[in-house]
Amino acid sequence: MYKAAMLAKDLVAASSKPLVLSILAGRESYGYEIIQKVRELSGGQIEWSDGMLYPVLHRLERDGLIDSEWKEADTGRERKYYYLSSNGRRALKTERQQWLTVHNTLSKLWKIKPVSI
Amino acid sequence: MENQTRFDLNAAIQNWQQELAAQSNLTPDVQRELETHLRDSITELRQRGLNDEESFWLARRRVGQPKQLGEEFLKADPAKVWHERAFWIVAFLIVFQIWGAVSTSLFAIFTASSLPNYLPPSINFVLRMLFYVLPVVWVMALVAGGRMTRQFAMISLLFHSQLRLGSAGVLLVIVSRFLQGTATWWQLRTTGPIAMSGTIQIWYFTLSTAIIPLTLVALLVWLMPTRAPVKPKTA
Repeated sequence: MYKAAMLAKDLVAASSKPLVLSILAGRESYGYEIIQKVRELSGGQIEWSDGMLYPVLHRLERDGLIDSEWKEADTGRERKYYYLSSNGRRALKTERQQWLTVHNTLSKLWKIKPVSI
Repeated sequence: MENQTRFDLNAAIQNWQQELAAQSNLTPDVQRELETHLRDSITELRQRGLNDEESFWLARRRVGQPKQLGEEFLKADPAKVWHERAFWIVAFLIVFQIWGAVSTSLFAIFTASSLPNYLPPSINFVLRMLFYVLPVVWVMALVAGGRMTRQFAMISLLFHSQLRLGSAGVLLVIVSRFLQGTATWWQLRTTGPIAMSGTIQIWYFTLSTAIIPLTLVALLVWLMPTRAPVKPKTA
């Protein structure tokens, strides 16, 4: 019914943390919206299964990187919103450096222009 | 020409909720969150022109099988299930300890004040058991009969914060030990006057036995699942 993940399973799992943290760095959000955003930004290449995201969110919350709150949306329906904590902001910085290091190393090998970290 | 039974979306969602509720790894909070997700998904599919039934089944498929969801959550946090179990085991042990102390003391005061000095051990034992077991049976019967909802609501207030649970636990332990000390003192007094050193000894012994339940209370507070903050912190 929907496309299988184009990324390898390991990569999907590994990238879920920086993706969620980066999305929440923009503004608070809820599970359904986060999945849609990832699909949209990746042009449909990263397709998260719905059931996979929630354990990730809960783990990040347990690690203190994000916080959550039940809030009423404009539609009148209550949703559980997640937002980045100050620890999460620091963790995102580290994630960013690490992913860019990988990116730059590959860029040099593939002779693509690296980005500044 | 409606020869099909109408699809009841709310009933379908309720059935699905019950399936979720059967998964012990999914807390009520997670269940509620997954339900909002399912509803969001259904709304979107309906906007795309699918009917209620089609939207429900597709949304349900996307969220995943309840059993599989339970396994995903367990994988993400295998310690959590044990954490919660340990919490309830410790809570039970504390109640057991406190009730043991309270019923022993009440029984001691009762026998020392209103029964002949000497009771055959067998009768003593039976009475002791009645004191210990009957109230437990009575409370269990009330709970099973659904007559304790108000008391449950009061008890659940204790679980609102670690501080509240901890202080209530410490208070209960101290009160129960105090009762036990009084009972011991009372019992000994019936055999004759007690010297000051004897009194000190009784209290020293009684209070020192509080160390085990107090340790359990500390363990309980430590094991208590922390709740998400109510207000968002400005990050």
